[in-house]
Amino acid sequence: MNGKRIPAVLATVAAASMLLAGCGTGTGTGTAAGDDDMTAKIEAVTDEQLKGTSITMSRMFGDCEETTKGVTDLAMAASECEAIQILTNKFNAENEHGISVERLGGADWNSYYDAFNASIAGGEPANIANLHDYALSDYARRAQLVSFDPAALDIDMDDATEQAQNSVTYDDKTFAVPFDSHAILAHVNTDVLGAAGYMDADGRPVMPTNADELMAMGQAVKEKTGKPLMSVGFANDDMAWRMFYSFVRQQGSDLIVDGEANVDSAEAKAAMELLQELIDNGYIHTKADYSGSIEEWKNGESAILVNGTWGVNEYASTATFGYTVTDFPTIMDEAAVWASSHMWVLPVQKDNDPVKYRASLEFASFLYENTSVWATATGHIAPRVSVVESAEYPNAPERANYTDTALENISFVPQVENWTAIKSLIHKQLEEVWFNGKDLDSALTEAQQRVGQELK
Amino acid sequence: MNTIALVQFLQRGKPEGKESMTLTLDQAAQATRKRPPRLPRKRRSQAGLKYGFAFVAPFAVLYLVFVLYPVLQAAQMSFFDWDLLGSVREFIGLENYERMLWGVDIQWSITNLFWWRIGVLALVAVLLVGPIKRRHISVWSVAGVLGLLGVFVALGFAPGKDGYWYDPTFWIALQNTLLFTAISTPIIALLGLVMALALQGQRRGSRWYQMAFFLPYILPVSVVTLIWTYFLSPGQGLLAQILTPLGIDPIPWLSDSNTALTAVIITTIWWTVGFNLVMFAAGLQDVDKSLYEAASLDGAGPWRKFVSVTLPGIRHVILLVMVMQAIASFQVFGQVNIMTGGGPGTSTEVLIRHIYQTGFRDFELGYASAMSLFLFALMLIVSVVQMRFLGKDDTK
Repeated sequence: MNGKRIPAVLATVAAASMLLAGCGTGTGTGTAAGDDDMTAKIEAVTDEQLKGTSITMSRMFGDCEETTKGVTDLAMAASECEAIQILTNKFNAENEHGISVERLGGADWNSYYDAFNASIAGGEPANIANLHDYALSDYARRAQLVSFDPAALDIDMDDATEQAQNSVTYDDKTFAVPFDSHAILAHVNTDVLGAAGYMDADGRPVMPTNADELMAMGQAVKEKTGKPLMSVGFANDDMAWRMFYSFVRQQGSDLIVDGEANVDSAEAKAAMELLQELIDNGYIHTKADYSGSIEEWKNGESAILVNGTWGVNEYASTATFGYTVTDFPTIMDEAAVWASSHMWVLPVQKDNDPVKYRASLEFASFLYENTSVWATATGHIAPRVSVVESAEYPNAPERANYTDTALENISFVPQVENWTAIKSLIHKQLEEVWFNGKDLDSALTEAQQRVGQELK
Repeated sequence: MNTIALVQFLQRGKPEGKESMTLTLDQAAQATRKRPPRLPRKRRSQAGLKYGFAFVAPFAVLYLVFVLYPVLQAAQMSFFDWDLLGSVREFIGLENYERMLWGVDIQWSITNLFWWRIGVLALVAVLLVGPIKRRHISVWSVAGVLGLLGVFVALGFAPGKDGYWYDPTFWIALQNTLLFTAISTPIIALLGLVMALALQGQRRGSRWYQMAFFLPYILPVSVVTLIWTYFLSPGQGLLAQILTPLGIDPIPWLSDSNTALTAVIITTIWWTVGFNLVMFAAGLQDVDKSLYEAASLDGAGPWRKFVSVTLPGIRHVILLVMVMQAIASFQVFGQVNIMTGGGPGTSTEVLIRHIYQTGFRDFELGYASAMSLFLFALMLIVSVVQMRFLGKDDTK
């Protein structure tokens, strides 16, 4: 072979082999794991087979190895991370089958999906993983999750709230075990609201029930205290979007109806106009990001913080002013509030080992049994009616003040393919209105058109 | 060098005497005898090639696996509907490119982006001035003129009254990326040069200043953005606390679409200028000191010395810094992703972030690959243009 041709030939061979290799890489593990046959195999796994099985777990909620190493006392849990880690420790120490759970990383919620997707694309996902309700369909649709029959595995799904039951199913099959729900609430500085005359004789906030009352409340707070009514994360944060979505749902509408975009609707416009009126009157402002909004409210610079259930415990224990929490106010026609949830799923494995699937379900079942611990430690709402209605639940800080949210009001976002991208398309148009002065009608029309494109 | 050439060289070097020439020839002959037997030309060439391959193999393997292979695979994927997680891999030809660059009811108009296009035509005119004067046009000038005319035509396309781009975010991200690159690249390079000049020579503490300015460069992007997010925060930030006593209201840098990109650029400057400072400082050390002395003797002032000695002396460092900085700026991602999330609205959305979201959030690797290749082509063109203009050696 002529020496000059060697590099060319080598490069060609390398390129061709890599391209061919490229055609064969990736996933494609989702074979037969979700069918009835596998469900039967999972149910048929015996106690003997389960003995000493080790499984891997991928989750969000961060890392807290140092404070939880060897801890199995659930009363010690004071944060999301500590609660889930201590629950895991307890399961490892006490489960009757000797199953051991090894955690693979603990990312924050917004960066979690990158690692989770990478693990699936690489063909090596953890045996058990946690997801949000809106993400379930993306993975179930791609046959990347194992379905199962909860009743056959003694998981009492009938005790779950109706919303929780709906959120774990896709195409009439159950793909997840619910762990919690979380919604936005009104976190109240009772000192500021009291100064505005909006605390009743029982020491509870007098919350508005329609738009006029909301504006009157904003005006009173502004006039009597010189402060805005609410602190809301607008910049690089979802809180304002969540308020918008809550107002849409309070009118009985949604952004996706029967699989079609419904963004350019009278209800969406009314929701945005209500927010705009609050902004124009100075009752809320768009300058704060998530931490900025909390800081502002914690410094006593506003009456109400719009934030999630996850803040309740922290604010109850650290607030330097009178603190209480209420359901997010119903301003439109019916009670509804944006909500999401955490759940446990079983990613499809290459080897499709029913024993590992069963071991993972045993752990998921344990977590489901202990949702009260999780809810008490984190402020999240337990997905089980029996827990929310139990005698102990109201003993945790402020829980009695948002049972309506827990049992009735929570409204999950539509379970459609690629909701995160759809939500981003809508949110960006709303931001164009809030930050760049875009005409509301044009923004909703463009959002409608973009979401319609995405849904095709 | 073969024997005859060696002799010829020595003859040229020592032309004065026969003796010396004889001696030289003897020495050359001895040197030739001591050498091992010469291989035939072809075998020598193959042996050289073998050693050449052996030396470059470690790098070449890594380059093939981690650079060439991903690029080739991206090129392949860009013609597919390639799902990140599923098994869908359908060949769709140029549809991803159509989605990126086209839309519904796209029309060409002479008035669209009129002033920008006039600017492009002005650049064409500038490019043609030299060739017209010399009455000779090079291939590069032809390519430049044709390329700019292509840009002029392309900028005329826009959606009609009821039309829209298939992916408007791509165009917004491209615009923001170009803006970020156009603003940040010269500032970071120029500031690096100015700081290097200020710290030039044996000034007291100049090493410490260099280290201090270089320090941010070694920080990961998460730390840098955290520092600046806190610093710029209108509620609890240090900047707000400094400005408030001066009667300036806190500025919501990251939540105002007019200031968000500026904040990201300032953060980037602080983060990376130290690297350019070190590059320029190293380049300045290599400038021949005698040239400054000669310039002084000729009565040149500091500015004249800078323009006629310093700048030509560090021309190659300037080229390196500009090309590297432009490439880095085109790939801006971490600062934007953490500090603003591309917002408010789409005011800081950049191409890499859009590619990342398309590929890893929306699972559309095929389309993400098409956009990556577009960015790759864009960076290649900009780098070639920079090398062509900045790398030109006027001293010849």
